[in-house]
Amino acid sequence: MTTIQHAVTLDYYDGPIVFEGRDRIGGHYLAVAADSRDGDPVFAVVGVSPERVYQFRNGMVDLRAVMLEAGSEEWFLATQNRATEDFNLEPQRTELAASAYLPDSGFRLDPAASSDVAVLDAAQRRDNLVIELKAEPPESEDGNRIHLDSLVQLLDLMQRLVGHAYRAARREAPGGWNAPPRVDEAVRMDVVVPAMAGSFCMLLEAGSETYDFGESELSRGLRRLDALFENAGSRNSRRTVAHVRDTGGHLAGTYVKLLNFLSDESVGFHYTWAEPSFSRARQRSISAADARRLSRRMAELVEHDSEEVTLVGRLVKADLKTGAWRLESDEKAYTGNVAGDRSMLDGLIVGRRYRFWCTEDIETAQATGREARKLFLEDAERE
Amino acid sequence: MSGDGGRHSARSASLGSQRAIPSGLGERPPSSLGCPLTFRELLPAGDCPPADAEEIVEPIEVYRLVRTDPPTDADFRSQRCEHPRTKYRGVTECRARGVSVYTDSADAAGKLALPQFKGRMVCRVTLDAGAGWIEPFGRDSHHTWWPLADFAITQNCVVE
Repeated sequence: MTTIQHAVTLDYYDGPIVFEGRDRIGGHYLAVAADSRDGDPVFAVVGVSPERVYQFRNGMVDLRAVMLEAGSEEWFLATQNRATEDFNLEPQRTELAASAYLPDSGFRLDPAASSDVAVLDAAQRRDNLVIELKAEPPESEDGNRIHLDSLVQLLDLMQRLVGHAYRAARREAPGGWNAPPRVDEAVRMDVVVPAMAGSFCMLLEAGSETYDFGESELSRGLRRLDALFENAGSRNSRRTVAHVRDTGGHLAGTYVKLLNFLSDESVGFHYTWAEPSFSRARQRSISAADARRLSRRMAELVEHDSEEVTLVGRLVKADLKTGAWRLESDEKAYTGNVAGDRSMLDGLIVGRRYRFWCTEDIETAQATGREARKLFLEDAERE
Repeated sequence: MSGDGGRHSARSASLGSQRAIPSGLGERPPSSLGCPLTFRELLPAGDCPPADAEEIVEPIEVYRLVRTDPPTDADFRSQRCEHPRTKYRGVTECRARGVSVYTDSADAAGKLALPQFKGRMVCRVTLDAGAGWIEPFGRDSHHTWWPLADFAITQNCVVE
């Protein structure tokens, strides 16, 4: 007799009412609560392709349609084996369409809730904090695909964001900074399922088990990150901009870099995470359009200013090809470029002391509070 | 630690008392009601209702599928009562002894399409202080409710 194991609960009401099952060789099944027999639940079960399961889980297809399609060849009634907790499948001779066990049309799963359930299930199964990352770049329209450089950038930005968010969370906590000695290790994430079905989707988990009063260190970082993404999908960007401005520092700067990346590459971004003890996973997402809108809004909030400065020091670099120079005083080193003709550097001798008259361009990003200063050499004189 | 994504606003507004520490089968030490409590079903010792569950202290409406109008106590039996021998991976004994409800009636009505629930009706239950503990679980507006023994469920239930 064929048996299946319960793999993922897809819907729950006084127990799983729709679940995904697997047989011993990895075949996929959908099981739907149908009846009760002698105090035990009975499920109607059909074998389905992984693609069809994915479509059902993501709300793309109705449960009745999936069951009718798969059940036209073979369908089963299943009861639980009390010893193994597996489900024994009894093949049925009558047509599923003619039975009382077919769902009515219109039963679809909410795709947002699908990630929620699957991630929570993965967290419990792996007994670890897990994070599902979903990217929707244009190339994913043709299947499970993402450009390599986009993937590398996205993962790098995510790891840096979580690290900065974690540091911010620890700083903002009552009592101030009290981080463990190896911060990077505390929030390191490992990719454990590199390419799951869906746009481009991967599963990560906490790379180390560091806990402080029952909460994992990575969880602190993710909660702080959730706060940044809280209103990212809202049409009114004012709240997000204000939050980013209040946050400031590396966290705000990296968040804006992520928005710019999503905007430039037209990538929609979702993440869902859960710890084994959660009753629900936490989700945040931003569409490519919202990332573009926010990225523009952040860019608009840049103030430009300039001032004249005079520097005195020893010339340690003068690159005639690029116009780059470096001047070192006793207190500080300055780097810059030439304002106009690069030949201005011609004749300057590395190692000698000079007085540089420069224009300093100052860009202040209001959203992050960050200041970028660039020096442009206008004139030089030997000291 | 809590996974509180997507909590229903009505519930959030109505909950929030301090949580009592469970002491054993079906009992809790004094809660906001000020006396030892007995749950409708015997709950396992330990963390049950779970740490994320909150005591109901203000009125909220939830929805449950019932077999008859008017509903009977049998319509509010837990998974463990209905299927005493069945165990599911990922479903704790505590959860199995709770009762499923929705905070959105549309989510409850959506389940009527499934074969197990054909012929059932959606019943609106008004919960108030003394109704027990509740926690969001699973997808949509589904919650698990651990009713207190003294709460008169059927008197607070209206079939829609």
